[in-house]
Amino acid sequence: MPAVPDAIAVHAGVLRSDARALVECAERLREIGARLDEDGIAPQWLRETVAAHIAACAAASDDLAEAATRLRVHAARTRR
Amino acid sequence: MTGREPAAGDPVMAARLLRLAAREVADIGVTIHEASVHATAALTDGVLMRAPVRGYRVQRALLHALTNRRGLGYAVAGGRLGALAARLGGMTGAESLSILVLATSLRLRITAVALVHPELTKDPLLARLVDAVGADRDVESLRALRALLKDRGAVRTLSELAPVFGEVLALRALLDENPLNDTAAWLIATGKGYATADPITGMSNRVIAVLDVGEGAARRVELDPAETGRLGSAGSLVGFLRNIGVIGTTGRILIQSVTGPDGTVRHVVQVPGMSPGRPDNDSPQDLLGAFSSAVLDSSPYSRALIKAIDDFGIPRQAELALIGHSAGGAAIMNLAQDTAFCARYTVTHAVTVGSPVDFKRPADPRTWVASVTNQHDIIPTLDGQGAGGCFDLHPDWYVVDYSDATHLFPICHSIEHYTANIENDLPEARELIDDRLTPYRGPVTRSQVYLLFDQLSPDPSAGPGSTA
Repeated sequence: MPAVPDAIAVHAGVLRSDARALVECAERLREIGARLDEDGIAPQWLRETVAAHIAACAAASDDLAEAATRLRVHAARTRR
Repeated sequence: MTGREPAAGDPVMAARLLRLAAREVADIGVTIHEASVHATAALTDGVLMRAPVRGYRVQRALLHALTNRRGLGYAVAGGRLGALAARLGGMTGAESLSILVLATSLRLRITAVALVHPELTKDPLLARLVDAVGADRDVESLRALRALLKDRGAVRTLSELAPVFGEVLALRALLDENPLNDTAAWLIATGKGYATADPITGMSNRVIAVLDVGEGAARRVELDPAETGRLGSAGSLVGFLRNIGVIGTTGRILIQSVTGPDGTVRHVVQVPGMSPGRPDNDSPQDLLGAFSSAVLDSSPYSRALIKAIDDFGIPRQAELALIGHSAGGAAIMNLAQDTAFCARYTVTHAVTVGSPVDFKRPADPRTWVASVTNQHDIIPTLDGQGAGGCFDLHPDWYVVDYSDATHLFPICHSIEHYTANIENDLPEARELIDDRLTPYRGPVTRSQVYLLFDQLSPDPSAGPGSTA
């Protein structure tokens, strides 16, 4: 039954890619905050808000990477 | 050193940079949402659900990823199960990271608008409301709104909030506990479509719009001599707008033939906005008609316009310019995006004034579109995009989004006010639009007024409801 492990492996691949995308999101948020700071137009609330979003993106990336790993392992076991 | 000049001293430049940042942040919110949808799809995939014991660790990891308050937040999304779970989560006030990031984008948009509309932050009552909404303080938001309404009344409150109306409503809808308005808020925040529901209650706009029924009908009528004398005798933008003012919101529209500088006869359809009175009468120029014209791709108003244009006797493939104010602008854009209509006639220009048309798309890419809106006019923002809009929704359109000293709605929405602004305060816009309308800038050779109906009246002497 290769269809089942294949389907699980597809989810693993997508989530692995999303984990990387979340790291990029954190980096993009950092750049946006720094750019507005440099331009002197960042509203007072922005720094704290962006810092919170960056931390959340990093945590979400770790969570998705962990889920992707579990999915990959599960797919491999199902294949056996 | 980056070589870039700090933008802090230039409010217009600073606002532009903030809107650019808001757009990037909204893109990030969408990316995060997509990750949530993918994780939900994995969690709810029957393959895993059929093997609960062997898949336990996987499901636990996915569930953790989708509910970790320090990560994606309460982020179950997508699919039937995901949508249901998201609504349940919304009702409990559990928020996802993507929603919080989109809220940040909206707050940046509001900050951008406030730089060029300093009254939004200098006025203590307005500032109190905007701050409370942005900080997700429900009780304080309601108190601030109540104080504003008590001090200014509903009309002035709406007028003063108009530049950030869409953003404030979307922010409130994203962060409140009502799951029904989340989709509308999402569409406003991401610029991905017309707000499909009322961002306050979540009531579907389409449900209301489809109440406006009728195949549309048009009957030739004569103007009285005084009105005829006030119609323009040569084509120009201000002349067309004045004509719309002459026929007024009386259920009528005007079609004129003009002989262009090259000797070719072309035609100009001039369409007013909504008439006051009963919200639903037998004219498509009623409140329901305004709503359906804005929300739907085809409405009794646009269908009645087609009947009038067909009756006028315009040869196939002849060139048309469409000019509309308010709901009339939405109605003419419905003609411009009607493939069958555009196959019969060549719609060269569509000019809308004070109209919610951000999500209309002409069928013929050669149709030149201009949209003129006053930032304190609430009507153009009803599609969810206003002065704080950060998305380049139609880079090929000519868009004039301006502000003047008159902040009071509905005065700033009237055709007379827009005409005066375009004539006196916006010379560059007037000249550019007139330049593009050059093929229509010649003597008027024929004028015909039509009275429009939702559907053909069995009694030819009957007028359109309250406008008879």
